[in-house]
Amino acid sequence: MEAGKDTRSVERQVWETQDGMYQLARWANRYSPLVGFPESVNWKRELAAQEKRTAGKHVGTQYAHQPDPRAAAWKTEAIWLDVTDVCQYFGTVTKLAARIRNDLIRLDIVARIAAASTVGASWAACLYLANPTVNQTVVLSTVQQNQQNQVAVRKELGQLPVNSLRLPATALDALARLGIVTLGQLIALPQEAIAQRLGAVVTQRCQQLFGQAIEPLKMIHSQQRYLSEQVLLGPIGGSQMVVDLFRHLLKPILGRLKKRGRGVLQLYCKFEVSRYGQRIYGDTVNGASETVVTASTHIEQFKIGLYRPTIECAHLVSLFQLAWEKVGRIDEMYHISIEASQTAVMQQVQLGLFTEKESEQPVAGNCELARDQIPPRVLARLIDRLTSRLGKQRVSRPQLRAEAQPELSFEMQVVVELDMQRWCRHVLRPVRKALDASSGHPPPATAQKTQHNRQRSGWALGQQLSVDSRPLWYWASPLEIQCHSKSRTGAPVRLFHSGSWQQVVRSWGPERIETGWWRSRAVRREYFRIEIDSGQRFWVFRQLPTSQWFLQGNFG
Amino acid sequence: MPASQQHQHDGHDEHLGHAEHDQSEPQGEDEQSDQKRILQQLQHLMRDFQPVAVAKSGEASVPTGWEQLDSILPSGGWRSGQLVEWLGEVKGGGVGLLGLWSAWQVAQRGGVLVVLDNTGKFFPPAAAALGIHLSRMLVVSPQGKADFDWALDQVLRCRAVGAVWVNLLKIDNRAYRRLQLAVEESGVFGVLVRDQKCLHDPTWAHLRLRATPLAGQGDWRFRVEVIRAVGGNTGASCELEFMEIENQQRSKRDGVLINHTNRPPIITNYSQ
Repeated sequence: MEAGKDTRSVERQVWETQDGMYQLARWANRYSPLVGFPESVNWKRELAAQEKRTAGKHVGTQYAHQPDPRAAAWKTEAIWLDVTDVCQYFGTVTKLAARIRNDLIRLDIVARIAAASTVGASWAACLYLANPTVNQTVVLSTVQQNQQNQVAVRKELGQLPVNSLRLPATALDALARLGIVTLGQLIALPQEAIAQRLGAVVTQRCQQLFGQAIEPLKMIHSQQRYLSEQVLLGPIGGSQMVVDLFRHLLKPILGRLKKRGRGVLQLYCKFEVSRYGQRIYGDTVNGASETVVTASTHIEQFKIGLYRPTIECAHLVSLFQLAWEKVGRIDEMYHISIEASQTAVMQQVQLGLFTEKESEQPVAGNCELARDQIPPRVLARLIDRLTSRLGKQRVSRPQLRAEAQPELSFEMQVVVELDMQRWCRHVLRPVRKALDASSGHPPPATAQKTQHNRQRSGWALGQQLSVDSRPLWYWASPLEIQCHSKSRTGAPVRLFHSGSWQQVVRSWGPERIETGWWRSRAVRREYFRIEIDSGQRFWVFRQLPTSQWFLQGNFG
Repeated sequence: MPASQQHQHDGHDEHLGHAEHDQSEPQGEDEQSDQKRILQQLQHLMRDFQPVAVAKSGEASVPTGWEQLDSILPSGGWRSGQLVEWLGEVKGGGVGLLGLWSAWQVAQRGGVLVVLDNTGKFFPPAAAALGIHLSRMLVVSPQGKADFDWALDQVLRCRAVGAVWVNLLKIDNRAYRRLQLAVEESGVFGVLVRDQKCLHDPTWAHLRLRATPLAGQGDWRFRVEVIRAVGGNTGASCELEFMEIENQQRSKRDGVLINHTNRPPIITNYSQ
């Protein structure tokens, strides 16, 4: 599948771009409380169109005008700051623009910055008057009451091309056919005639350009930081005290999240500590003292990740305890900070008539029935605990691959990549087919394969293997062994095992594979299942063409 | 000696003590044979009583897949909340596959099948060949003994886990007892596959079975002995064939019942 057309990769690209712009918008909140995007932008469509433009495919359309690839960037690459009544804190608009420019340069972000009295004017100035290569910022007059200023702005904007008016390509094409190139030419025409011939959108944009029509923006509110921190004196009285402190700091965060109907997805914990009585200081400004150690070397930090949002203090505390156990001995602690770095909307739970929350009590009665009724969160919590202590890579689910080579015939899928809610429900449900069969009723013939399985099954996955065809334990790097084989069939007859030659009682094979030529070198093997006189079974193969024998696995 | 073992032996000694008290009186050989007969009857009653008690408690046992094995197990099959120890040759002796199959039999009634593998050598295609749904399996790979013990304890305590399969090398008595209490509380079916060298180690498992492969016989034939069974008959043994699983799968797939008369002769021994 072509990477560019993969739906998931496109979605991810859209998400990354959107997330990047939102992050920038939140960063810009430091200059203004009102930061916004244009309303009703279909990010997916716009990014696909942008990709086309980058590839030069847009030229193929027969337009009378020369399309400007930057003209549509206002939808996905621009943010607006409402600096009304804000400039006084920074001096003037020019100083504010210069400060933003300098801060962005420090962050290695190239940007065009322009200030004007309307959204349309600021975009037009940004597109055609600002020059990012020489760090030039443009400030048009932002005082609308002044008649002289308005005339000057009209004159300056009138020289700009109509591309700056944020019009659709069809409208720009019509303007080009009529010979209208600049904004000055366009605004000189009667508004009624423009609306009649070119559509209402052109007149609307003209009015918005000069502030005669309202243009709403989608405002981004500054992100709520769910942060709680405390400065400490130093000595701590054991791990239980740290846990209590964690609980104490966590409760206000959870309270705030609960009010907003959100839950914790990730907790970021940071501790400024010292071990073995070595005193550290938070800052390294004072270089006179020899005992000053950089704080970064003595900061313990870790993240607690969850698969589903929660606001349950006890669960988070238990996860914290697991993570804290790995930190080791701590003698003194000077600062502790906890931040809910990722939050999500909590799942809606149906409340009972007389209960305030879902019952935590185990369901009494028949075990088999009760397991089906266990809420998925019980399993999700187990996964949380296991991954918190062992690491995400160590909790996985196997999945078969359509590969003949045993080393590559499966993959371990990290559980973090699964839809946890759906998977938990799936595994808690009994295998209906098996139940039907054990009760003597044959399963319905339609319940053979799901659509998902049909899509995944290749020739290697579809084949019916015997129950004793694959070993329970295997070596990813096969062990070379000594083996005597029959000259006719090639089946092994004696095997050197545990320091002595063992007689092969029975053998099954060969199962021949020839694969992997497209990776590095072709793999040609003849596999045999063998049973020695002690009853043990092994999975061995003969490498071709060298005829060396290798042990790949044993049957547990 | 573990407490449950102790308890069981105490109960047995009590009967014996009572018998000795009776024997201390000068009586004839007929009376001694009567006492033996009574003891035997009592043993049979106790053995029969156990499944009834389980049935009354509402817990249905899960068939093992082999009728001869069901007949020698105390509850006529596997039960949730049970710790089963499979002893045998773990390097190719097939005991691990038997254990994995038993774990799957219980796990398909609901709950995730957890495989605890600290060696990184577990081969999932073997499980797939057994008919195990890999989508219902969770492989946990802890590093180090502390993490291994902790992870085993955690998965055995979780009610959402159907069965746990683990190749257990060494475990101390206290940790083992904790595992027993964990499964009894949570209802998880725990399968511990251990090397036959651990035969004389103390155990807290509810059921301890030893599987010995019979070389060159049948379709991978095993002799399974009940070494220890809480509330059941120890010393009973049977022979079973691993490839019968395939027949069961085929019958499930095709909806056809197996003709048991075509099986090779299977021996079941009940110890007295």
